[in-house]
Amino acid sequence: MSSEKNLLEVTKLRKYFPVKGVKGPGVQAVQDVSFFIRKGETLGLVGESGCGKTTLGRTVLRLYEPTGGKIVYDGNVLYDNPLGENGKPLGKALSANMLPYRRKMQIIFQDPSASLDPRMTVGEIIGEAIDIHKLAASKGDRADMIKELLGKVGLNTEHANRYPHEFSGGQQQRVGIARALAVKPEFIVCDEPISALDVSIQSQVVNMLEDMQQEMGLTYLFIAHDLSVVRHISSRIGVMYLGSMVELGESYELNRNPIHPYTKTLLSAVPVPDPQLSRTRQRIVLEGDIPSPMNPPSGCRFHTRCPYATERCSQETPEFKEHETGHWAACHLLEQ
Amino acid sequence: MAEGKDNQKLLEVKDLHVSFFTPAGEVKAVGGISYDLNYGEVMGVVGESGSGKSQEAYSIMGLLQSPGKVVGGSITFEGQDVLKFSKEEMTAFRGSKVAMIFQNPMTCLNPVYTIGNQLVEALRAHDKEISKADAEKRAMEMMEMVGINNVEKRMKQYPHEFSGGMRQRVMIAMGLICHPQLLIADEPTTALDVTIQAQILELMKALQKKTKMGIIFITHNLGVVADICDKVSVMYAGKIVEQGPVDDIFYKAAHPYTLGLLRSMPRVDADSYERLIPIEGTPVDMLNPPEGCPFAPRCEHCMKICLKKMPPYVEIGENHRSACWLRVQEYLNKKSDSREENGNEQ
Repeated sequence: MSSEKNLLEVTKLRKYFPVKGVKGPGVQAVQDVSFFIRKGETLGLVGESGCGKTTLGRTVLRLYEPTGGKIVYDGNVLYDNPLGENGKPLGKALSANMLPYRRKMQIIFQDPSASLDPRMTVGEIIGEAIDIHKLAASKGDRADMIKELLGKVGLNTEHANRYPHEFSGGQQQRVGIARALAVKPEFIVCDEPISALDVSIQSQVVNMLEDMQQEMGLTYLFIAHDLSVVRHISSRIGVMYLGSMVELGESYELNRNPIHPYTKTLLSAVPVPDPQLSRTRQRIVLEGDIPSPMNPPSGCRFHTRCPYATERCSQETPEFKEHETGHWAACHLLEQ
Repeated sequence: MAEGKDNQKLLEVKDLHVSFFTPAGEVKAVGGISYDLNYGEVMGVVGESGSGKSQEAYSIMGLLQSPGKVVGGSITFEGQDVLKFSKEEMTAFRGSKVAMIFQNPMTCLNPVYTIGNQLVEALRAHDKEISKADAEKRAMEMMEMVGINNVEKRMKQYPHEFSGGMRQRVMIAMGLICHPQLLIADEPTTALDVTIQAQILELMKALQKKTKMGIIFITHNLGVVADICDKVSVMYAGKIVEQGPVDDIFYKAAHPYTLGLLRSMPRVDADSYERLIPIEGTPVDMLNPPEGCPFAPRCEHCMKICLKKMPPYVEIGENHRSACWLRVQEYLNKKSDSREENGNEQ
């Protein structure tokens, strides 16, 4: 998987959240996920709520300390803690000082009103990041930078003196984006950046994120549950189910030719805004609910809901491997 | 039950006005909307947050929260004027004739009572004659009907022991337990994951076929509308800007707002990348709505008259109407054309 063009490489990343009063590993939110992101591309991450996509995004940035695995950013190891068969670390974990990387790696959150400090003006919110990384030479320089950022995200310069509550949801999200861009990052985790916005505003923000990427050569990890938006913005898409990555491929290829049973279900469940098509379309409806990540099923985690599950699926964990060029999946069926 | 009443009028809303009297001034949440709903029909109400789509539904149920008030118009349900109901009549009407399911089922279920208890209560509140044992039997039947397994055990469980999708099934069971003729579903699938949303939509379609009730389905998701609705009302800033059969709305949209919504969405079945075309600007501030057409400030076709006067409805096709000055002009042109033709013939 290694290549010079890869900005981020993640190998067997694992994140468990211990639960008080419960024996065992606790909530197994991310289970041995491996992927890479090329420079300048957008990797989309989809899955149902509770599948660990947000945890994965935050663990990659080490906002959550990983339980095990390896994260390499632009050739530099951010974290390395290989785990043995029994889940115990093989040696001492290696972890880099994150401050210099915080400047390069940023995040945009889902709920814009909850992620902006209500007692700080927009100018202070954006300026804080500039101060921490000492990016401005002088006060005037700092003010100019804030003005430029506001302009970039489509806000007026006089908005710098206003408080977050004075803005609409879409404008607040623009402030969140300006805050992330303030440190001139290379890599941004977009964690459901549009789910909280009105339909007519969503496309404005999507277009803006695309423009920023073009202009500044950004790389995105775009997390969302809305498949049609992810398919639109991403070059490649990873599909997660209950903490595991089940399929990863080129965005249109994955859409046309999904190979994992879960991806097929997920694609068929998305309602299409086309009445004639939705009348003729066959929908695969899954039985039951997503199991608890505290106590995930043995073997393939999807086997309890999979229409094609065999005995092997409940015993052996399928390996996540490349079945066609650039198209990975973890399913025993594909090996026959 | 409403069998054999297909294509008969169930609900008629005429020129409904709902206002909220806030300290900052009057907010006209619903500014004069009209529509009919027949037995066995599913109407989608589409709009952004603040477009008045929920308030309009609450006023049918008599559930408007103060300082909200119906200030004009009429709501006729099976020939009766709902707005003239006394408090007792409204209580009897609510639940037995009209039921409502909400976006977040967790906040609608009482956490300290078992599911069985709540279902039985809903039934016995309207059917005073029914015995407890019979009520329990009915509750179990309803739970089976909405696809909940292991009913006897589930009846004794509390809401927190159910998943989100299962809670929404319970809400649907509770809504339908008195066999209402009209079900109002206010964003019932918005809080659910797509695979669970698919389950709930399939369930609602099956139940609707079985009971022939009318459904008002409030949502902002056009994909869901295409899936379940027979006709659609598109709302913007408290007004219905376009109304028509579902195919007309999707394939022959006449209002710039509807067109804008359709264009701004990526399609899951698209085969290659196309840049999205967003609707520019921000939704209306309902405290200071613009004069004229509320959509005019964001409309790419905005003309002088749009900023002065609200356009009247123009018939575009059968049961398909839209409020836009562009269509008014087209309509007038067509009329004068046909008059000229007629004149030539004579």
